[in-house]
Amino acid sequence: MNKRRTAYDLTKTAMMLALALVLSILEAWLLPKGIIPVPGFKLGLANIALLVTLYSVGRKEALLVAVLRSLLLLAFGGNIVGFVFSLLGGICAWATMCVVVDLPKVSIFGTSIAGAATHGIGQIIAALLLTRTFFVLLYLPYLILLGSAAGALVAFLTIPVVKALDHIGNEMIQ
Amino acid sequence: MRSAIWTKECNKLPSHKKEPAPCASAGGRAFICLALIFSILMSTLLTSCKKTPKKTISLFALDTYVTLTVEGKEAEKAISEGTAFISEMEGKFSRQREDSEISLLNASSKDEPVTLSEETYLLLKTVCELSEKTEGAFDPTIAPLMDLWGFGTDAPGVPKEEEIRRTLSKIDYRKIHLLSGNRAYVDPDTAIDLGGAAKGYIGDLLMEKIRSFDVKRVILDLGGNVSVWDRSSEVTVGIASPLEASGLLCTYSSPKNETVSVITSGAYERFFEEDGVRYGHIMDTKTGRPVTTDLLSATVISSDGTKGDCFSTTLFALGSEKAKEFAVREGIDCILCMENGTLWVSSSLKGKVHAQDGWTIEYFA
Amino acid sequence: MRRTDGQSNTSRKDLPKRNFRFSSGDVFILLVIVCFCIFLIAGMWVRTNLSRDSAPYVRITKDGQVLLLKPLSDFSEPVDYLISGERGSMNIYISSEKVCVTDSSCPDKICMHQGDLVRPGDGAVCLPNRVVVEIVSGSSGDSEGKVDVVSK
Repeated sequence: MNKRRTAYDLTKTAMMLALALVLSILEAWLLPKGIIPVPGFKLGLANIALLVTLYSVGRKEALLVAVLRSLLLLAFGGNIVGFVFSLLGGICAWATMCVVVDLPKVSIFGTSIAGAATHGIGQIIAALLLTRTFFVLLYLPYLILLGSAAGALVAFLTIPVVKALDHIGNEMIQ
Repeated sequence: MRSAIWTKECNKLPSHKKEPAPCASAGGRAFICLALIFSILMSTLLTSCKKTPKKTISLFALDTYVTLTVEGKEAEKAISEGTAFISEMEGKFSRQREDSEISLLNASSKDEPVTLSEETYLLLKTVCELSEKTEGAFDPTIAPLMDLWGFGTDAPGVPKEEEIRRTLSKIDYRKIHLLSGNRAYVDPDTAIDLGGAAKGYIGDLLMEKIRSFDVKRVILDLGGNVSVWDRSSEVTVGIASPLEASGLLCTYSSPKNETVSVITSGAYERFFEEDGVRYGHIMDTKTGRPVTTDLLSATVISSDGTKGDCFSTTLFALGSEKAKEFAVREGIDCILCMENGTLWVSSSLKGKVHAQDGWTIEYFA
Repeated sequence: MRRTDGQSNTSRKDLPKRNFRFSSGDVFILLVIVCFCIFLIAGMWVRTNLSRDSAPYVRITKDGQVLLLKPLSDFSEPVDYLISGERGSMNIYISSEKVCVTDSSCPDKICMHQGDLVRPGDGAVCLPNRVVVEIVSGSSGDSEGKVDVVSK
């Protein structure tokens, strides 16, 4: 049963990685140009995959999803700017969610919103590194507020996925 | 903060081209006609404003940021020619490029001298003469020492005393041998780096090139080495403060219709720190270590950028007392910045240099 | 066995606890984020409004290095400012009323979509070129504005 569980976890991680990739591309597609004034910035819809992995597989695997997603995006014709953005954003979001999820009285909503907010902070850090100008800080509150709204939506969408995965898992393992 | 959306809305506000919705009355029609005429007038006015004879270009070349500003009928043409010229010269003088004339010269020997282009030969000749004048305080064969200290690399560091001594013996401008027919060779143990003079020289040639077009104002900034010319008005050149990032020491107004190059040397832009000690990039050719000087920076104002480039480095390395002597002897117009806030200015520059707050001018002659 | 609330997996020690209902801790997190943003916005508002009476400057930065810092009033005659580098080129139109990126070699052209930059705080970022064009208030580095060029 342990072996089964390991294989199942691996499958889930892989599925989530694929989901993360699709969502990243979908996000760039869906958002109209000009809503986010800095190239490379993402609201972080791909956090759904990160959050699902965190809740139903584990912390390490969630980090794996975050890092591999950025790498694969780069491999699938992304540019280096986008890579730095998604990597820093993803790692910041992951670290925050790992801490916040253990806080008392915090639900998946709080975790997701905190993750989305720091996702924005991570991207601003990337922009700071790339431009070495403090001007980009002006975008920070804008990005955090938009990101937090997206974070709430992400949490809402994550719940049924985690439940469904549990459902499948229970059937399979029994 | 202002986002894209807000700025876009702002753009819409002054849109004079938008006509009101058509309405039936004669007055309304007249109004539309007026508005149309007005908007056409405005748009032609605006577009005519956009055609500017002033052009500026910034590019990364010669290991630094180069900015060319040209005003005049042929500004655009002059700028594109100038840019091409810079990369051509970079290809000749850069020690980093393997196929440059300087690299070929460094690989030459007595049996195999290289034939140089007119420009390179002339620069080399000038540089050797200037080295003689400064008694070797300025020396183009400084390259092995710069390499030893690691300037121009990612990891500079203080070398061992013994290594410095060994390297010092390689540094001597007399190891450059100029032959007839633009041919030259250097002794195999040394290497040439024209970093101390090339920018000044390129500035001179570039100015000449750009002025051959129909232009009226030219401002060249080759990584802080400034060359200016204006047919009909003065150009104000600021001298950067070595102490604060965007502050100024003083300003200098160049006379009209005269080419002037303003070149500043100091150890405040390129340096590294080790164990709390700051090591600047200007070397003392006697000790093989970064110069110890009571000057923060030295600025030379002259019509000859090559000289200006060499002499500013030399004056900085000499220290205030010797620098003043040297400047008087060679007839150099200069501004020497002391740590105590004094600016020593050549008396021939009286009335042209204005100190900024916190700095006081004293003249010497 | 078919429990859909997800409790079955919590027995594994490395999995975080499951709480799918909006709780009091979430309110706290939201408050922290909102306060942080208000603090940031207030700070920026104070900065732009305190310096309202001073002159607007245009600042162009590439790779963290300031290429141009001049008051807009210097541009009564508009100027096309070209930047060219190994990554690409940009054309920036500067006049005394506005600054805008008119051309850029970057693929997304977001810097061009920014439109006109008019007041201090406005700016356009081009990440592929690593260029930031912004309008700042005169208090920062006014000394460079009085001169045509700086020797350093």
